[in-house]
Amino acid sequence: MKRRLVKLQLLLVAAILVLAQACMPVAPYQRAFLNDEDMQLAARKIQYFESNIESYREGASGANGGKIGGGCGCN
Amino acid sequence: MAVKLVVAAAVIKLMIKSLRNPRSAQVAACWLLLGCLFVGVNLIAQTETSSYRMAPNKTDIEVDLLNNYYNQDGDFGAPQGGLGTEQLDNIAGLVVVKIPLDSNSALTVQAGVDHYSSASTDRIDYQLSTESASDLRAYGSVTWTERDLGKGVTYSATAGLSNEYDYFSINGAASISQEWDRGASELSFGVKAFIDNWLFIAPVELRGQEFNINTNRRSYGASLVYSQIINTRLQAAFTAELTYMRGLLSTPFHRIYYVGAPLDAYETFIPADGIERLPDQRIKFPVSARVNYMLNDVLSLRTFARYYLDSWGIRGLTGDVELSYDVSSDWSVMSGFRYYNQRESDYYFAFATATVDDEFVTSDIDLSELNMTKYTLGIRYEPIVGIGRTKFFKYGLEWRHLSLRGAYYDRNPGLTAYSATLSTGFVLRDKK
Repeated sequence: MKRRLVKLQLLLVAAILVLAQACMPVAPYQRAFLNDEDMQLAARKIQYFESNIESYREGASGANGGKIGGGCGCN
Repeated sequence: MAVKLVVAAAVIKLMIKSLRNPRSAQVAACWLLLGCLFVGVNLIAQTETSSYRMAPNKTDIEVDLLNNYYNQDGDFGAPQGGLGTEQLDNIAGLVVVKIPLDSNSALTVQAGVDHYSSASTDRIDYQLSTESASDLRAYGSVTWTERDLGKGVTYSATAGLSNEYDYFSINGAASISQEWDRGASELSFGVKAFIDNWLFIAPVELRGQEFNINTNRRSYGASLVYSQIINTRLQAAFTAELTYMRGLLSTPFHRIYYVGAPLDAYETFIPADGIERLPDQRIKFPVSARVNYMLNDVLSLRTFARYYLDSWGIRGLTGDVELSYDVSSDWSVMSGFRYYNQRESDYYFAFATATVDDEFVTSDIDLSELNMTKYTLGIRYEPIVGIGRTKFFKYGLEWRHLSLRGAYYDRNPGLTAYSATLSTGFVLRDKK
């Protein structure tokens, strides 16, 4: 498990570093595709309740928005 | 470049140090530090001080309305000791209003209500359709956002609360974001806190017993998000979060039956051997990546992956892929698949497998080993000119879009669920 964790973390660090270096300059007027609603780097608004359900029904949560309103999640 | 190499070396050194002793908190702290270092250096290394400014706020007031119906049925109800119906219906509504105060600042007000009917919480006592069969949760929050358009900095602060019959929560959050490279890169750091209180409700047959339990729950979290435009069609975001929880982290009305209890223990009124017992501290550490790619003018691909670990022994892996297709300038459809796999908590015991010697014990299937798959299908109608217009007091009201999304969940073991969400949005324009 420890080895898998090591590999995963190193892979993620490498990916971030490589992606950051691979970026090309994109001027604001070239961002028509990137500004499309489907391209936003967050869960869709319409997914709000699904994220809530998943934070209740699964042991894992976080790093994806998720519930903001508190609640015990016990139902 | 030299600075980045130094950072890369520091990153590798930190990783090696943390991996020699990979306890959750240390790994998490290392990751947060790592993110700060990496992005901090990018900020320092940035030499471009162009005339770029962030776009000012739009003057329109935006209103989003969301409604959801959720239904599930399963076989492992925790109030019955981990065996029994999980049938549940939930109806929810949410209103989100974003009000621009000027070109830099905005206020977002959010209010929602959930009403659920649950066959498992109905079994806290032995009579069906009693008060515990349903509950109402009301919640709301206010977020203030302030942006420095010239410096590319965004500050935000949120205050909120949530109330249901046996649970009350006050929460607060704050974040700061910095963008650079003409908005191509952004780092966001946020903190949040939840101050919660339970109303202690034990299973009916155990209510004469003394439980020495503190009913408070506190949750504190920090998150780091780095997002990056990679080219004109590709962008990504990486998130690391660290959450520390303490207090009553178990659910008091979840029954525990020890080894030897018959399968029909609840139905035959055999008193539970105890209630769920879990440690009073928990550290959660999820890391995620989101990568979105526009394949062509009408087709886009959204992907999300998350790895999660916590101090209770749960390890979770999530993968989510969604394809969106613009059928015309007005209509688009989206279809997705999500897979979630989880290793069980160190404290999970299936129905009647725990013993009196186990210090911490839960039979809540949500903390067991499980796989969850989700299939989604959605449709959005959003004409460029809006769906309709009318006058609303001094404002012009424009109906912007209408969306419908369905999701089907299949959990192994034993639960199926579906969810349907209707979403619509309006803008209010001051006619002056």
